[in-house]
Order: sequence, then structure tokens, then C-alpha cells
Amino acid sequence: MATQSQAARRRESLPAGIVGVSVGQVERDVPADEAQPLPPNAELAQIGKSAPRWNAADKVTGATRFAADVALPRMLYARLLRAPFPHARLRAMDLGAAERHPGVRATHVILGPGGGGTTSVSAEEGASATRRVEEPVALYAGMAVAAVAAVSPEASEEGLRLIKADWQPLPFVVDMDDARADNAPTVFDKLDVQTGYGASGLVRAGLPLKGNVRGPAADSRGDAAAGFAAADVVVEGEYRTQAQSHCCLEPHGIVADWGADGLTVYISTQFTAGARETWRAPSACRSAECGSSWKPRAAASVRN
Amino acid sequence: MQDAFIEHDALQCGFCTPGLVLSCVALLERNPHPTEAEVKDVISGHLCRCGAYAHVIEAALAAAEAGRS
Repeated sequence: MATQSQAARRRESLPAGIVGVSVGQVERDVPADEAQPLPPNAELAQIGKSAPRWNAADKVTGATRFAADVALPRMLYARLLRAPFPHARLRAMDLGAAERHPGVRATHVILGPGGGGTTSVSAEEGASATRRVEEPVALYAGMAVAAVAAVSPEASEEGLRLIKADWQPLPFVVDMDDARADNAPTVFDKLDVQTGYGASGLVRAGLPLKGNVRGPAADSRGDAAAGFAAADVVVEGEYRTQAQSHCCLEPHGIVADWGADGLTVYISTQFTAGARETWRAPSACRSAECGSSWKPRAAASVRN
Repeated sequence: MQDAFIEHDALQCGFCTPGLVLSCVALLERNPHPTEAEVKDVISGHLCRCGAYAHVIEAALAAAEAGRS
């Protein structure tokens, strides 16, 4: 039995080709209910037309609220204790005095006894690297060690200062060539390739790891020797630059609002869908609130 | 000036925008007919990570032009 679409078709003449190269008309059979072709660009009302940025009025008047502007009732303020050394073993950490601070409502161990046996940091090109350690070890100055949540930013800061951390500094290098040396202190002893949102897909799985050197990976295409031979000029040089990351002007902040129907997160992000996936991850979902009603939402992204 | 900023899309994330608007308004108050170089000088103290400077200059000059007519 013929379906309706097979039965009802119409003949249509359509423009086809690449503007500026060659454009012609082609005849096609299309379903009878196919939408009419768009009129020429000049006759379109919206497509291709300049439109004011939808939130421009708020931005030029200063009314825009950024993630760090969000203030909710009974909100707590979190601060992170960060490692003061580029490489150091955390022998002991005492959060007792911080927990007894009248303004402190919660503490959280990120690196240390109770913080798990692994530390994980983001490496270059979307790879995540994991170091399995018997004792917690800071892998860079500034690595998150513990967190305090308190009734005000000031109380949170005071709580941080009450944490007693006993560090044993370990050898480190800060130069790429030093890091490649055979006797260099190793940063990671295991490398995983990250998958899912946030992964760049640029890092290959299965590359060998020797010391701090991963790889080598080799790629080949074209004929470089022939290219050099045919070139009028050959310039040789070695160029180095530090790792660079974009940085937005707005103060980074995250406000997380637990509710009966899930978690609403106000975050500085360019990618609400990815942020939602991150917050949905089971590792971010250890508390009793994460039941079957778990419905993370990324809200109020105001960056473009 | 705010309208000119919208018209010329002189913003993106918007974090630096109120400050740039105020500096451009202040410029026109003391100098209703600024040159492009004078606009650049006035906004040079503002950090716009989105890189909207070129459109900010257009907006300020357009606002000056509109004030003249």
C-alpha cells in the first residue's frame, strides 16, 4: 500500500550550488507537504539580519547578574585550602579548630585521610591524570586540599586559617627539560584518557608513560622532504610558550541550590549542557538528596 | 551611549560594559567631538577580555555624531 508521502508529491524547481562559484536551478520531486523554499535572502525577515543581543539592555545598564552575584537565603560561603608547595606529602591535617569556629557549618577533606586514595588533576589536552598514592600528595602549588563552608566569606576565611596541615615538601622541577630527565621526580604514575563532556578527544589512549614523558605518538602525512626541497626559503627555529588558558573577567563563582526537585547550579560557564553533565556525575552525588528525583539544572549562564 | 553600545554590539559578556559606557559618556561631556585616538585613549584603562574594543570605539564615535546632529 502506498504511503501518503509516496502518493502525494510535487515537482519543484530549486536553486542549488555555491554562491560565488556556481548557482543553478535543479528539478526535484518533493513531498506535497514539503515547506515552500525560502525566498531570496533580500526578502527574508529574520534570517541573515542583524539582531540586537537579547540581553544587551541589561548589560549596558549594569543590571546583569553574574554567577558571583547570586545570593540566596541561608547561603553558605565556601573557601578552599590550597597546597602551599608544588610537591609535598600531606602527613596530617587537623580540621578540629575550624569545625569549632562558630560560623563554620561544614568542612570537607579533598586531599588527605578520608579524601580517598587518589588525587586527580586535569592535564593538558583534555586528559585527566591520576596518581594513586598511599598518602595524599599535592602535585602543584594551589591544589585543592580541603574546603570550609561558613555563614559569611569572612568566617569561611577564618575557618581556613584554623586548619592545621603538616606538609613534607618533596622534590620538584618547574622546567620542561628538567621534567623530561630520567631522574626527575614523577608527577603521575598512571594516565587515563578522559571521556564524555569536557574531553577534547585529542589525547590517545594506550601511549606508554616513562617518567614524566608520555608517548611518543607519531603522525605522518604529505612529504615534508619534498616540501622543503621545493621551498624558496626554509626558516628553522624552535618556539616555546607556556600553557595558556582563557580567563573571563567576571569573578568566578558557583552557587549550588539544593531543592526538593534537584540541584540548581549558578555557574560561570560557556557550556550549560556540559556543566549539567558534570554535576550529574555520581561522584558529585554522594549525599542523600541524590535520589531518583535527581534533576540537575545549569541555570543563569550569562557568559557568551 | 547605552543605545549606541547596543546598536554597535559593543559588548559580549558584559562585565566591563558599564565602566566603558561611563568613560565614554564622561569623554563626550568634556569633549563632544572626540577623535578616534581620543576615544582609544579614554578606554585604554578598561580591560575587555571579549575584545569588544573596536565596536566600543564605533559606538562612542556614533554617539558623538548623534549628539552633533
